[in-house]
Amino acid sequence: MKNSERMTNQIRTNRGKKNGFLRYLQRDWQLYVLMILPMLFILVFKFLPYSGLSIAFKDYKVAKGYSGSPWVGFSVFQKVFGKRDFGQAVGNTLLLNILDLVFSFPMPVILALILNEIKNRYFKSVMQTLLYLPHFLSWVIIGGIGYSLFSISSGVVNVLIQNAGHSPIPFLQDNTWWLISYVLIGVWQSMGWGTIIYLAAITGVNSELYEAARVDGAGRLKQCLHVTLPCIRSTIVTLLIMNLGKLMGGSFERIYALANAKATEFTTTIPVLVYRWGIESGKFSEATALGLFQSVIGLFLVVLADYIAKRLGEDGLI
Amino acid sequence: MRKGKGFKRAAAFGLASMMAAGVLSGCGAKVKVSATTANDKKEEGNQTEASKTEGNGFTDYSKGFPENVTIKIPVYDRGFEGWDPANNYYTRWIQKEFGEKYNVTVQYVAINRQNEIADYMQMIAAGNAPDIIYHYDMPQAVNYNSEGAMQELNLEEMKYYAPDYYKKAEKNINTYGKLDGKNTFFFAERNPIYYNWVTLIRQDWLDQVGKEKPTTREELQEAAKAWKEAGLGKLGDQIINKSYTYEYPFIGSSPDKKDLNLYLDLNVAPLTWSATKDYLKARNQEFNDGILDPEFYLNTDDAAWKADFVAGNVGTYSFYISANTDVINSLKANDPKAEVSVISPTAGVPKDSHAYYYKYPPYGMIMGINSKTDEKQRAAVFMFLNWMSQPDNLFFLQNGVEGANYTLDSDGIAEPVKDFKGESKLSNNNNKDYWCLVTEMADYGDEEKNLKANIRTLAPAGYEDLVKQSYDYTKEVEQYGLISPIFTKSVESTGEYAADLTAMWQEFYVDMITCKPEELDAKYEKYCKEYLDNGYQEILDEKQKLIDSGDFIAQ
Repeated sequence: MKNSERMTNQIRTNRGKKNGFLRYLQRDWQLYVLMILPMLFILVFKFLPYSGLSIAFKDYKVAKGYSGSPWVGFSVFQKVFGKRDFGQAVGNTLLLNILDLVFSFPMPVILALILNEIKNRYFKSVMQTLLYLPHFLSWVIIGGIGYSLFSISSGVVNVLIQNAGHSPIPFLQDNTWWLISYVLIGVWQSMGWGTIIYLAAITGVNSELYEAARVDGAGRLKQCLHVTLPCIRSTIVTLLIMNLGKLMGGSFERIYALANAKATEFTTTIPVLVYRWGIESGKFSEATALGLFQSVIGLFLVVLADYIAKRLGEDGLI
Repeated sequence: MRKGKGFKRAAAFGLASMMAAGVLSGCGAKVKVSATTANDKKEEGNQTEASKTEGNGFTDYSKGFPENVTIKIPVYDRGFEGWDPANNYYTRWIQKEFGEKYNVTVQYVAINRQNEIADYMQMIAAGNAPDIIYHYDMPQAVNYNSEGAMQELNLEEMKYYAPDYYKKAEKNINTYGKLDGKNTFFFAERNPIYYNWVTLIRQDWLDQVGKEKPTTREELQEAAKAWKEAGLGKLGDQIINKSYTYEYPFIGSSPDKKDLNLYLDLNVAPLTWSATKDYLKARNQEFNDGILDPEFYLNTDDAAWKADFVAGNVGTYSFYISANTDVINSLKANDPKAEVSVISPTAGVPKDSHAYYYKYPPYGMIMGINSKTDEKQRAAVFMFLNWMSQPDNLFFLQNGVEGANYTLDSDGIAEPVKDFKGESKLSNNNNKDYWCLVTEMADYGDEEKNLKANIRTLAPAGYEDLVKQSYDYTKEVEQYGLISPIFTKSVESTGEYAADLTAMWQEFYVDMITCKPEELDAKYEKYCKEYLDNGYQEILDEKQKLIDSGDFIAQ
C-alpha cells in the first residue's frame, strides 16, 4: 500500500507544477462520481441533523417547530445536569462501556489469532460463521433467549441447576449478576463479527516475515506473538480509538432487552435516558441536550485517544 | 508530500463547502416551511372574512364543497392480522357514502396503538398530523394542547356544522372541554360498562383443594396457600407501570375526599399514599408466603401473564374479555381438565376496605382540532362527525352488513354471524377504532338489551355465563366507583416528571414486594423520600394549589 502511494505521488509531481483540485477532478472524475452517493449519505444522515441540535438550546414545542420555539440558552442543560438520573446515567454508561472495552475488545483479537492457526480450511470457515452469527440477531431476540435460558424459575440453565440439587442463580435478576451476564452476553454477541476485520488484516501480513521467523527458529506461538500481532497493531489501535469514542454511548437496545425491574442499579444509562425523555415523554429538548453532551465527551475522548496513539508512534485516525 | 497536503486542503475545502451548502439548504427549507404556513394563515384569514359575510356567519356546505377538501382522520392500528386500518371495506364505504356526497376526501391515518404518543408527536413535529388529535386520557390530551398542537374551538361553528353531534356532546364539552379558559376539547359519548374486565380463576384447582370461590382477598390468599400445598400454581400478576389503579382495593372503608382528589391519578403512581403502603404490604406478604408468581415483574405485557396462565403456572388472570379471545381454548388444549370461572372484584379487596374501582369519566375519546387545520377542513371534519353520529351510519359501522355480518333478532339486536370471513368483515374489536369518534359503546337504549348485545360480542362461544356472572358481580359493587379528579388547567409538573417517576416507581415497588417483610418499612420510608424529592412533591403541590383554587372537577 505505502509503496504504491509513493509511486502515484511521484507520478503526480512529475506531471507539471499546475496544481489544484480541479485538475484531479478532471482526471479522476469517475472516482468522484462514485463518491457522490456515500457523500450524500453522510451529508443527509450525519450533517443535516446538526440543524436539529438547536433544540437543545430552545424550549422546543413540536407544533411550533424549530424556528417558532424560543431560545433559552443553557437552561435545558442546567435542568438535565440537575436530574437525579443524570449522574447515575453517566456513571453507569462509563462503567458498562469500560467493562465492555476490557472484556469485549480483546476477544476478537484473540479469536482471530486462534482462527488463523486452524489448518483445516472447512473447519475454520464453519467456526467463523458460527461465531459471527449472533451478530445478526437483534437484541430483542437475544434478550428473549437470555430470559428463557437464565431466568430463575423457568430458565433452562436454572432448571438444570435446581435439578442437580443447587439453589438457582439470579443471572439476570440481581444487580451484580446482571452486570456479569450483560458483559458476557455482549462478548458472545460481538466477538465473532469483530474477528472479520482482524482476519482481513492478518491476510495482509507478508508471508516472508513468517519464513524469516521460522528460519530464526520461532515456533507457532512465537510467530503469532511476534509477527502476526505486531503486523495488525495499527488495525487494533484504529479500532481502539473508534471504540473509545463510544465510551459515552453504547447500545440502547442491549440494555432495554436485558433489563428488568428487579435489577435496575446499572440499567440507567445515557441512551436509556435519551429514549425515556425523548421518545417516551416527548421532552425533545432535554433528550437532545443529553445526546449533545454525550457526543461532545465522545469527541473529546476520540481526539485524546488519537493524540496518545500518535504519541506512541501509531498512525492515528485524524 | 507538499502535493499531498495541497490535495488534503482542497478536499477539506470541498467538504466544508458541501457542509455549508447542506446547512444553508437546511435553513432554506425551514424558511420555506414557515413561509407557507404564513400564507396558509393569510388564506385562512381571507376565508373566514369571506364566509362571515354570508348569512349565519358560516358558509353552508351541505350541498358539498365547491372544491375537494381532504381531511385526515386518525385510526388506531392495533396490529390485527390481515387488517389495513387505513384502507378497507369500511374506509371505502365511508368515502363513498360521506366523501363523494360532500366532495371530501377522507384520508385515514394509522396511529400505532402501542406507540401512539411518539407517532403523534412525530407527525405534529412534521406538520402532517391528522386534523383530529385524540387520546383516551385527559392528561395526555392536555399535553398535546400544551405542545401547541390544538386550536381553540368556536362552539357556534361546531353547532352549525354538526348539530346532532353537538347536541349529544354538549354537556361534556361545557363541563370538561375548557382548558385554561379556552374551548379546546370535544368528546365522544361514553356509556361505560365494567363487566368486560374479568379475572379468571382455575375452578378445577379450587375444586381439587376443596375451596369455595374466594370473595375477599383473605380467602383468595387461603386458596392460593392450599394450591401451593397441593403443588399447583400461584397467583398471577404483571408489572404495573402505567394506568395506576392498583391501590383502589386498599383505599379503606372511609376514604378522605381530600386524599382521593390529591392522589388518584392514572399517570403517576401515588407511592406516598397509605393505600399504596397497604397494597405493598399485602403483596409483599403474598410474595414471601410463596403464593405470588415470583417473577411477576418479568411479565411486561398482558401476553406474558396470559402465557403463564395457559401454561398452568398461575391460577388467576385478569383481562378484557372478548368473543375472539383465545385464552380459554389454549388453556383447554394445554390441560383438558382445566375449568375456569370468574371471581368477584371483591376477591382482591381486604376485609376492611371496599371494592373501589376506576370509574370512567362520562366522556369517551377526547379530541381536539389540529392547530394547522383550516376553516374548510374544520367544517368537513365537523360534518363528518355529524354524519357518523346518524344512527344508521353508526349501526352499519358497528355491525356491518345485515344478512352477511349479522342478523337481527326479534328485539332488534344484532346477532353476529360466527366466524364471518366475507369482505365486509369487521375489525377484531368490531370497528371500534372508527366509531370511537362518536361513542365508546354500542347502545341499544336500555341496559337489558345492551347486556344481551354485549354478551354476544364479549363471550367466547359456550362461555356466556362468564360474562353474565361478571355483570352480576360488577352490579354488586357499582356504588364504589371513584372518578379521578379532572383538572381544568394543565398540571405542568406531571408532564415534566411522569416518565422519570414511572421508572422510579417500577424499581421501588418491585423491590418492596420482593424484599423480606421486616425490611419493608425502612425501604418504604427511604423510597418515599426519594420519590418526593425527585418530582412527586412538586406534582402534589401543584395539584393542591389547583384544588385550593377550585380548578378541578371531581365527583
